[in-house]
Amino acid sequence: MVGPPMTEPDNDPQEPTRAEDPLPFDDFEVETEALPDGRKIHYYRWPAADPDEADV
Amino acid sequence: MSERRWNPLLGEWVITATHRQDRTFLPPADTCPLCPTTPGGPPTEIARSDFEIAVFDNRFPSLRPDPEQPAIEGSDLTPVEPSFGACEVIVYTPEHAGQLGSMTVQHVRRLVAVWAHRTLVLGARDGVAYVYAFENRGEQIGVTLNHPHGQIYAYPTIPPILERETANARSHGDRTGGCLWCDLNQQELADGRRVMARGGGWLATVPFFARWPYEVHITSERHVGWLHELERGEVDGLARMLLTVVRKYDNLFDTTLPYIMAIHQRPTDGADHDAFHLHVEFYPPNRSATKLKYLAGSEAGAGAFINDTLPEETAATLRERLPHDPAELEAVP
Repeated sequence: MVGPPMTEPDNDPQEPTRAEDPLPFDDFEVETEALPDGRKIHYYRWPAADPDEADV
Repeated sequence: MSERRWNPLLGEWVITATHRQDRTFLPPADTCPLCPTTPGGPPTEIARSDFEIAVFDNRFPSLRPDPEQPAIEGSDLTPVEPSFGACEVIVYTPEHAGQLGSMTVQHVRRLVAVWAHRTLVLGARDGVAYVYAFENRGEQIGVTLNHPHGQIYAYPTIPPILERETANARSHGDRTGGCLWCDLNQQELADGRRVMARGGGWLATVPFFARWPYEVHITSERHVGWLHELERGEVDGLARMLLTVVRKYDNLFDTTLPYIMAIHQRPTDGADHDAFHLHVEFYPPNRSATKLKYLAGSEAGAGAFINDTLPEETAATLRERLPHDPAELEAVP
């Protein structure tokens, strides 16, 4: 096990979930859904406006 | 059927995965399984389109969290194990057209974030010793889907090449007190002939010991082991360097150059791997515009690579190709 605890949402696959401990260099939302055969898919999204990123 | 079989001759595991023979092979764009499902169209792996990057469990995994029991009995000499682990597909974008080199700096930064996050998620699972993110690009490499994507494997043991790098890094540290990659960076910077680009906290070289003609290694200038340890500026620097390498490749022969991109991070087995240093390796198979290097007798049968080119010359060629400076890539919006 490495780094800060990072959870993978598996209780309610429809619930948008933000990483519990966002990475120090980024902030995103992960939404996990179940595929018809039980596999998982994780959709990564970023806020539409991220003023911090313009500073780099 | 999938299982891991021990090769006592080489001291390494071989994964059998016979179900992968049936995987989708170069479908036309309108039936691409990695494109978001369109209204009235056939269902794909991705039901939604409101995302920047998506990751899903591979339909044809060679490693899985709940593996079946091996179909064959092993022995003390040749043990067999269930193929525990995970295989994920990372879809770089909802758009079918394009490739890594045509993406924006901002998007590649996000890709780095997803690689880092998946490493944390998969590496935190009990029994996962190594998380390996990689991309195969081009049909010459064996790509079966053209939609921009990569893969992430979670292994139950440290794979052979990473095991060797880990052991050599530890040995170098014990002998010299230094980091193997930090010392290589200093050697390459002092020499300069094999440096392809530098900036943003990263150094790209055709390594002194390159096995492939246009092999490139991108190494962080700061001693870090995992992507999630990077600082924001270093993530920006890595995105720019990845784009610099891939765009140079595509300007090398004015074609989309096939390659394997391998992200080497520290193992996640809980042991002390502080000597290991984060880096990214690229192996294009081309030795010219039309000729490929094959793994033939010496490479496949003896493990001894023969490089038909000089790293000093291929680095000079790559230096001449655009873009010259990662810092000159487009500004992040």
